[in-house]
Amino acid sequence: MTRAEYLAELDSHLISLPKEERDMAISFYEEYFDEAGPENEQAVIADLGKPFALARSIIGETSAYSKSMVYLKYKESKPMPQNSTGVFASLRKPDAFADSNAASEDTAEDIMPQGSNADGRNSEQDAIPNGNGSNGMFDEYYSKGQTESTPPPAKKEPLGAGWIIFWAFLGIFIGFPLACAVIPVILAIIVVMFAFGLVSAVCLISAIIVLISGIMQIPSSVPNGLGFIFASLLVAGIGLILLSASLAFFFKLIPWIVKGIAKLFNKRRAA
Amino acid sequence: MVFPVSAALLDALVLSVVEAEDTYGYKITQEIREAMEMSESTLYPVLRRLLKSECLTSYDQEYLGRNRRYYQITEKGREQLKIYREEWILYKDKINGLISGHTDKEVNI
Repeated sequence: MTRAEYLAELDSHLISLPKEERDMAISFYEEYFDEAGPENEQAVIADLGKPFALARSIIGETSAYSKSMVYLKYKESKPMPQNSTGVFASLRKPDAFADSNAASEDTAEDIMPQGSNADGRNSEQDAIPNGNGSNGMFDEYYSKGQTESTPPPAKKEPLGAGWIIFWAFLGIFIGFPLACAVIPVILAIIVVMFAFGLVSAVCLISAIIVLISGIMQIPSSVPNGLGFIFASLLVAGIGLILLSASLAFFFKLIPWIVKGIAKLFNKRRAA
Repeated sequence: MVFPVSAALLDALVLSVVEAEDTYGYKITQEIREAMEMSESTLYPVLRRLLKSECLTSYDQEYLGRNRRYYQITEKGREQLKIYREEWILYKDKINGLISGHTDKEVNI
């Protein structure tokens, strides 16, 4: 990749920034390449990393509220941003920073949380690019994570007619039969699980009846009575297994699947 | 470097370098790199942050027929740097105390 290609790609990933911000970033890296000299062009490109990852770090910094300025903002006693109350809540002494020469154990401890997390919303995005830009291991992890988890932003071109037809065909010839096959199976599973619940109820009720009759038979015939009691326990056991399977299905598995699907959709919307 | 560098430390480093003299992006990176490993991708976000929070200002100067953007520390930047320096001494002493504490004790015995 040449310098021009790199910068063009970087620019395309910065599309979400205002024009002015974008131009500033690009001209900064133009200048950087100039300073490094043409002989170092490839080294600089290698060190800057993937344009997409670099763009992420730029966007993260330009849009996020700066955490590291917490000290100063605090000292000036400006109204604190709402989403970082956690940090300020942990600062008990108003002049913790002004007179940190008189550093007591107390102030030092109070200050520590600042580094870890200022605002929950941006912290992750924020911390990755700048805090660990120097850490090779993390860089690798970061860029890897990017390529795997988040697809590159889709270009906002209107779908061509060919694509629309393609997707429509795909929907009709694959999606529809698939839905025809899958939906009855799902319905069947639900019905079976519901039946499990009913059967378990029947099992439990009959187990109680058999148990009572078993106890009542003990005076006349001990072996018969014990047999009935044994049978009742067996039926009760089966009933409990079916009941737990059915309960687990309706109250654990289904909410879990629904949540999973909802998450999937949310992710797509976010990306 | 095995220890991760926080945003605050990067701010402090950049402010320190710029406080010494007005300077430009490439040189700031090179100077910080004398002290620690730093990716070339790290500096720009830090500069943007410091510019936005008015700790730095920038001005353009021509150099060999092209533009060079210089960064200059502001009064607010100096104030911030003073806080960072105080913080740094606290932090450094505490970490030193913990990390090298055991060997000190052995020496004392």
